[in-house]
Parts: sequence; structure tokens; C-alpha cells
Amino acid sequence: MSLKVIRQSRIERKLLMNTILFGFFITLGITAVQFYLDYRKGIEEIHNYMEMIESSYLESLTHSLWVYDDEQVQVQLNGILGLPGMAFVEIRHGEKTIASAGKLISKSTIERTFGLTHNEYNQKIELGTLRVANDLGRVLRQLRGRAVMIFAGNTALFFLISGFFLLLFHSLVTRRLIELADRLSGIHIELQNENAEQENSEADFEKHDEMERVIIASDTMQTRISNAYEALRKSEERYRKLISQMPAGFALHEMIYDDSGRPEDYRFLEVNAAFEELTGVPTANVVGKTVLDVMPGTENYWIDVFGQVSLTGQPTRIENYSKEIGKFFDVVTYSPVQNQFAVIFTDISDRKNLEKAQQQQRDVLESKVKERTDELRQRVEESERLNRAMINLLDDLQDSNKQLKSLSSHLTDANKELEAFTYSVSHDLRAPLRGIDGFSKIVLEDYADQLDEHGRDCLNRVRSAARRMGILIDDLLRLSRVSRAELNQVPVDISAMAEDIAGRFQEDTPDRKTEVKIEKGVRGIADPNLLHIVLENLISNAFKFTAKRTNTRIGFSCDHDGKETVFRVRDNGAGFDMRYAGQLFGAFQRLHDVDEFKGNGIGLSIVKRIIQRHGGRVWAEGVVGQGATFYFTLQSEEEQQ
Amino acid sequence: MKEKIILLVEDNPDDIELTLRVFKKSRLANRIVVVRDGAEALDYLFCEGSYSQRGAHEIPSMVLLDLKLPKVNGLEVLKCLRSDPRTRLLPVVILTSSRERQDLMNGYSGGANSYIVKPVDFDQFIQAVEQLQLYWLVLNESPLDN
Repeated sequence: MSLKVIRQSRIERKLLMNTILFGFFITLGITAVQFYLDYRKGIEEIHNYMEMIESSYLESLTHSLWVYDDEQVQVQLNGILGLPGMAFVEIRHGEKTIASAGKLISKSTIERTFGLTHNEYNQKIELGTLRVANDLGRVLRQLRGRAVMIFAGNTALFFLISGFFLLLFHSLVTRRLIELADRLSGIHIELQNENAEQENSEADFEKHDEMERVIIASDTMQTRISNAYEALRKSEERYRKLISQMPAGFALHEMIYDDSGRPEDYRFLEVNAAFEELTGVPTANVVGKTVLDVMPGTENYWIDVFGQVSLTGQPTRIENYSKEIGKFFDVVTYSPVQNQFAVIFTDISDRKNLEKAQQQQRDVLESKVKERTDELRQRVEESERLNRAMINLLDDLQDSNKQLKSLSSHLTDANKELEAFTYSVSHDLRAPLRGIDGFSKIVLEDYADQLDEHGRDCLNRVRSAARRMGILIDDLLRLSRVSRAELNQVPVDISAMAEDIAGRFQEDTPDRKTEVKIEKGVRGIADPNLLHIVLENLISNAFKFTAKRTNTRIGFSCDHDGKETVFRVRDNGAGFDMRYAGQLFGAFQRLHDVDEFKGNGIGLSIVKRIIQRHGGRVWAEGVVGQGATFYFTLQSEEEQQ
Repeated sequence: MKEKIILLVEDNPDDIELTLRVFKKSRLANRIVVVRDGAEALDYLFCEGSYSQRGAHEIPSMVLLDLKLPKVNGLEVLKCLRSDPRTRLLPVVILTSSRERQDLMNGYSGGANSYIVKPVDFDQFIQAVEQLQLYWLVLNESPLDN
């Protein structure tokens, strides 16, 4: 695992490189020191040997010299040469070499020269000098062989230790560092719009080692934290503004419970500007105080509802009245934190008042509707009663109808009979009259010579009677026709009609002096043909009964008495006795002698029949010798409407 | 001048007598043929029944037609005359006692050339018949004359 990790881990690679380099020099240094120490030890050993020579060999050698035992001298010199490192031993006396052993090969030697002095009677006699040369090359050779060993050993030791530490370092530090760097760089604190920068630095990040990554990551994190903090600050400011400048009232509260855990009051933690505006309670007087301190009259339902919200965390919306503030509020309440609740509220007093007014109107309307409904129900009941009555009536009516139908058929039969009778009168009654008249005339013509005056007179009377009867029949037929004629009522210019009729009568009697006065513009609704007959009859009568006047005055006019229009035909003629006024309109009724005024009394009957058919009335006023006035109406006012 | 034929369709013997007297007294020499009901009138005009031997050339110059007639009434006779090409143009004068408007309307609608109400007054009756004769047989140009 370690090699792979080391290869992957930059810091460990660096550490390894540095360790190798450092280890190499350290090992080299240590080796050099050991080498030097060993060298010094070798030199010291040589000096020790020199001391040993001085103490052990010098006396015996001097003695041998004194006695000239050359053999002994040589043995002793060889003994010295046998000591480790000794390369050359020589005894000189002045310039003269007395004895020597070994050879001086190497230049690097340590030499010592000892004086060989023999004490004879306290007199020192110089016998010569001993020169000893120890070869350093031996020591160096020895050292060179050991140096490799030392160096190799040191190196191996060092690598073992540093390897162990590397592993330790990796397991204790590097891995954690990588994790730390990863975690640090993995922390995204900043807001989303800063992501781009981070992604750009991702490639560079790979180039750095773990420590640097940690540093970079922590730097980045710091930037991010400060960015995030700034963003947070802005955000908080934004939200604060959002809350504080919100036109709706806002307040955050802490709920206060009684011992049994029931909500009994709440404390204001924070309120916005609109709070003061809407409640009328200054913000400064509110925060930190409880609602019952500030507004003791606060209704229990507010506390209950808010308590419920604080407990359950369930957002609630209520509309209610606050007596303390005197307003209706629409309140949205929610619990951002346990045992706290926030409210957002608006003044809905106007709407509530409007609703109340509307409700009142609706109530009034409803009561009215109810009233009307009751009325209507009564009416309906009434009409049901009426309906039942109607049904009864209808039954009766059906019976009546049946009767009427039979009556109607009777009437139809009667009408047919009347038609037949009229036709018969028209046709059959006239024929015999014509015969009476005709044959009377034939007798008068053909047998004139056989008749006396009286006979002729009688026959003439027969003829006259026959003709009169013919006229009567014609008049009767006219009356019948008037009764049967279809009524076709239209607006009529009555003045024009009267003028026309009077004009013709004036033309027919040019010798008479007649003053006719007709009111202009008199109009009415009538059947023109039948009305013409009425006017013709009345005006005709007026002319007839004024015939004996020298100054005839005939007038037509009308009066509105508010209820009906009364038409009037007046003359200054013979007049009549009011006692007989009732008889005037009967058929064939006459108030004057036939000889005095011609006529058979059918005219006014016809007038009356026509006026009756129009739904009007006709009557007359008269004074004998002073004239008569005939009044008629065409129809009652109700009918006109 | 060729003798003209007047067909009088009348059931009342008094009226026949009086009418014939008027014609007799008049100066115009016309032949009067009298038939006493509508069926006889049609037989005569279309040379049928008892008149089948009659010369078809003897077409009356004028028909005096009463309305109230036995068997076939005057209006039906008029209808038959007007629907037959031989008599379609024949002058027909309704001479009746009826003043009824209905009769008047029916008469003219049926194609009558004149409608005369027989007056009760015999003097007026004479006058009427004389004028009729003068008008229809002398003054009036009939399409049948030539």
C-alpha cells in the first residue's frame, strides 16, 4: 500500500526525496566522524607503542650498546619492528648508522627519536639515538576497510528509520491531510454564482501537495466564508427589509404558558413598522413586553389560536376582531421556532364593515323576500282557492256552454228563420202589393168609363195603401238590415260627414233659407256606413220638422263631460212634448200627423238600433214649437279605453 | 226590322200579366216568350226537353230573370247561361222583388247585366220595363246581333 500511496502522494514523494538527500549527507558526516575517531585511535595506539618502546626497550638496548653486544641489539631492534605498524628502526650515532631493521617505504610515517644515554658514575655517556618510524599507511588501510562497513551500516539504519517514519507520517498526517484538504475543498459555503471561479481553480489545485491544498482550500474557504457571510448579511438585510418594510403588520412572539402548560400570554420579540401603523401601539412600547401588559383587553381566542400554533407548528389563518385595537384583522400565523410564533396581519375592517353592511342588506332583503314569499304563498293559496272556484265555475260554465250551444243553435235557427222571413218579406210580400196596385191601375185605365168618381177614388185609395205598405216593407227591411249588418268601427270625421249630409239637404231645398252650423273637427270611432244613416236620419228630421220655419237653424256639435262625448243635432223646428219623449224611438211611432210631416216613424228606430249597436245611448229633448235636440253617444268611455 | 225575342222567366202569373201588358202597350214589336220556372228556362235556351224542336237560331235578345223560381232558381239559371258558350254573352236582366243586398251581389257576381227591383207602384213598374226594353233592345249594341 505504501508505495502506491507514496507515489500518489506528493508530500510523501517530496519527503522521501529530501530524506534520501539528507540521509546521504548525514550518513556521510557520521561516517567521516567515526573515521576520524578511528584514525585518532590508531595514532594514539602508535604513540602508546612509542611509550612502550621507551619504557621497555630503551634501557636494554642502551645496555646492549654499552657492552657492544651487537647481536642483542639486532634482536632487540627486530623485537621493536615486530610491534604493530613499525616500519623502520635505526640506531645512529652522529651520522653513522649503527644498526637498523625494516625499510622506510611510505612517506607518511610517525617518527620518534630516543637518545640512548648510559649512566656511568653519574656520568652520562651518549651512545647514539634510536629512530623509530611507524607506518601510517597501515592505519589508513585499516580505516579504509572499516569506512565502507560504517557507511553501509549507517545508510541501512537511516533508511530503516526514515522508512518507518514515512509510514508513520503517512498514516498519521498525510492521509488526514488529504482528507482534510478534500473536506475543506468540498465545503461549499458560497452562493451559486461563485461556482465558476471554483471550477477554474480545480485544475491548478491538482498541482499542489496536500499541505498546500489544505492551505488553498482553507484560503478558498475563507473567501467563501466571507462571501457567504456577506451574502448572508445581504440576505439578512434583504429579509429584514422585507419584514420591516412589508405593508402588512409583522410580529414575532414568544408564547408564555401557565403552570398547567396552557397558553396564557405572549411576549413580543420583534415587530415591524406596519405593526405600529396598523395597531396604533408604538413599537418601542411593545418589544419585550407581553400582550396583556400592552393590551390587557386582548380576547382569549387570540391567545388560544396562537398557543395552538406555537404548540403544533401548524400555520393558521384567522379573521377576527380585536376590541383593544378596534379593528378587524386578517392574520396569518405560523411557528418558525418551537414556542414562538410569527403573525402577518392586515387590516380588513373596511371589508368586514362592507360585508356587515352587505349582510344587513341581505338580511333585509331576505326578510323582504320572506315577507313576499309569505304574501305569495297566501296569494297562491288564494289563487288555489280561486282555481278550485274557477274549476267549479268552469264546470258550471261548461254546463252553461252546453246550454249556450243549444241556445246558439236555436239562435242560428232563429236567424235562419229571420233571414228566410226577411227574404220572404222582401220578395213575396211586395209581389201581391204590386199586383194590387197594378191591377187597380188596369181597372182605372181599361174600365174608366164604367166607374164613377167614388169608384175611381176608392181604387186610387187602394193603390195608395198598397204603395204605402210597400214603403213600410222597405223600411222594415232597412231596420232589419241595420240590425244584421256587420259592425266595422274606425275613426270617423263626423263633422265632415254631417257637413256633407246637411249640404245635400240644402241643395235639395234651394228655396228654403237654412242656417246650418256644424262644429269642426268632431271625431269619433264608428262604423261609417251606419253612422251616416244616423246623421242622415237626424239631419233629415231636422230639415223636415223645420220646414214651416222661415228662419231654419240646424246645428251639429259635441260636448265632453269628462266621462263621455255627447253628440248633438239641434233644430228650431216643431219640437215635441217631452211627455212623449219615450215613444220617439219606437218603430212606426209618430208624434206628428202624417199630413203635417211625412214619414212612417221608422227613422229614429233605425237611429236607436245603430247607436245601441255601437254601445252608445240616444235621447232627445224638445219643446213644442221651439225645436228639438237629439243627443247620442257612440260608446261608453270604458269601451273607448 | 227583325223581330226580337225577349225571354221572360217569371212564376208569378200577376207579374206575367202586368209585364206582358207593359210590353203590349209599348210601340216596339218584340216577341215575348214566357217560361214559368228555371228548368223550363234552361230547356228553352238550350233547345232541350219540350223545346228540343225549337229552331236553334231563335236566340233571345234579352232575358228577364226572376230570382225566386220553382225547380231551378234564378241564380242557378244565370250560372248555367254564363258557363255555356252559346249563352255566355246573352244580356240578362234580373227583375226581382228582392231588395236584399245579398241577392244584388250574387246577381252581379253571377254575371247579370242589370239588376232591377220591381217597384210596388205600377206606374213606376211600367216605366222601368219600358226603359229596359228601350235600353237593351234598341240602344245597346249586342254582340249577338250580327
